[in-house]
Amino acid sequence: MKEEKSHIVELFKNEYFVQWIVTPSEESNHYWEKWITSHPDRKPDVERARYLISSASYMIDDRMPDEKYDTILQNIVNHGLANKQRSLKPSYFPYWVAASLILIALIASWFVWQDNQHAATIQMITKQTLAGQKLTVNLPDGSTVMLNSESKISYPDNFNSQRDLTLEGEAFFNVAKDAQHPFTITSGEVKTKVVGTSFNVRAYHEDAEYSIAVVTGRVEVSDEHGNHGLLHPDIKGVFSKAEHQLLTSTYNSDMELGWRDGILMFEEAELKDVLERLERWYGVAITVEDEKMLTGTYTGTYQNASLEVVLNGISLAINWDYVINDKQIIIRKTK
Amino acid sequence: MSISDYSSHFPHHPDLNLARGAKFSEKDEVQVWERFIAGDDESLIFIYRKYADVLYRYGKQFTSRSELISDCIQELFYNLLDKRHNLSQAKSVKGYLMSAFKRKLVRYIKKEGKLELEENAFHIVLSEKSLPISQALGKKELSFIQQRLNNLPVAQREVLLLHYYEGLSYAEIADIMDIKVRSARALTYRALDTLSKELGPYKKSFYIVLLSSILYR
Repeated sequence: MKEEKSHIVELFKNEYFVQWIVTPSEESNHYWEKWITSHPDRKPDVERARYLISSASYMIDDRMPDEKYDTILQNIVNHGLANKQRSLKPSYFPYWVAASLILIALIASWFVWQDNQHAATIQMITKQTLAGQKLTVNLPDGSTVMLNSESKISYPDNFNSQRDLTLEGEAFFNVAKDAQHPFTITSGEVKTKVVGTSFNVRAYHEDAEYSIAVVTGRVEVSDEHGNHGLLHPDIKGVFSKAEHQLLTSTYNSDMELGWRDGILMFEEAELKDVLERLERWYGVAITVEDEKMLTGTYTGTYQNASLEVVLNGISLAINWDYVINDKQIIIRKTK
Repeated sequence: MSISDYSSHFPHHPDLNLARGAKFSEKDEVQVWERFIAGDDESLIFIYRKYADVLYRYGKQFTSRSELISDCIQELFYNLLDKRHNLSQAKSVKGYLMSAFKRKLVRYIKKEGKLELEENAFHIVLSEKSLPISQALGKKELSFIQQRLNNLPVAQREVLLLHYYEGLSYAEIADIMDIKVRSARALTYRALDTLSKELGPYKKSFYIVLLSSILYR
């Protein structure tokens, strides 16, 4: 009996065995499975050790509060961006260089102060979201921007006097009225100009078109190809990238603006676009076993639904099957 | 395309494993870390997602002040971004993070007073897992073992959790607890010896039940 006991303790004392149980890897699986095959009498010990090790956890086992978790994640992203913008300057100066630079800067600033025609250098501020994230940004002029997933805005720090902003991705703008300073959004080749309104801009790099959907006020849109239009509430303008055309039409507000309330809507959407939107929306990576499966379209609406619910819905309509492995989804033919 | 094919594309797939607490393999982790050091911030986000809760839970053993723990975690990641050029190819990302985080947290706590561990710091809970083997260990045995575990000195319990729960090696643990590798190993062995002495009354039943459960499975 005593010996039996020492067997299991021996396993507990084996560092490699423990690491195999807790964090198995391909190599360790290979090694230990072979080891168990050649020591069949030790199998019960292994099972018992595995059981005991995997049943243990902390008594104080708290997760970081969700809101805090998201805030810190966002702060890390922004901190990295700020560093990148700063690192345009070289970072290691010899003392005397630094000192003389400070002197030059002092003299220069005195001149600038003397002669107010020199504008101060403009710092750009950037806010960005990753897949599966949304973010509301309050601009210095009182406007608010709600960013959808995988989107980015940049604007100068003196935003009050010069309301120019660039957008990649999708955002809903609620622009504070200021007739003196028009508010201009540049996204790719499209410019959107307003005085004070609320509207949605969708301008993802990989999409075939840019669309601007107006809720209140008037919105002026133009592109680099000379297309130009004035949009009113309940009207959307769509720029097609391939044909360089601007088309205006009415729109379904759930379709264009629903993302703010967690509404995910597809209307006869190409399957490729459906999957792309799901990747962005849920922050996952989707692969398809066979590209041929992507023929046809899908129509459906979901609100605050989990990815499984959406995939189940689509699978029923299209006759698909899927496997979720953490954040990777594989779409397969129905067996 | 199988899962394994897919993960071989990992470096080109920034979308992979965006989950909070996502697990990815040691090999991928080393790659992610190298990419971060080479200047890719997005890679650090993977590391954050994977370890934020691990660090937070560890911090909770030292203090109940949630804000302070979160601030330390944020500061740790800021430091990584600021000093990435001085970072080496870490042998263990997890060990490195936990060690740097603990130093930071303890420094803050000491600044404001004495370091007093939480009442249940490094207390261990054994939960019944739904394994077929679980018939071998009833609630009674588990709670007996658990009670004995929590009678151990706190340093032994800390090593046990870091080793058997977090899966860290003795070298990593030594770094985190600021002791010698030898001592980390010795603490574990001492705990195991104490336990196996104290589990005497259960040894017999433990083993017979276990055997029968395997035979009649």
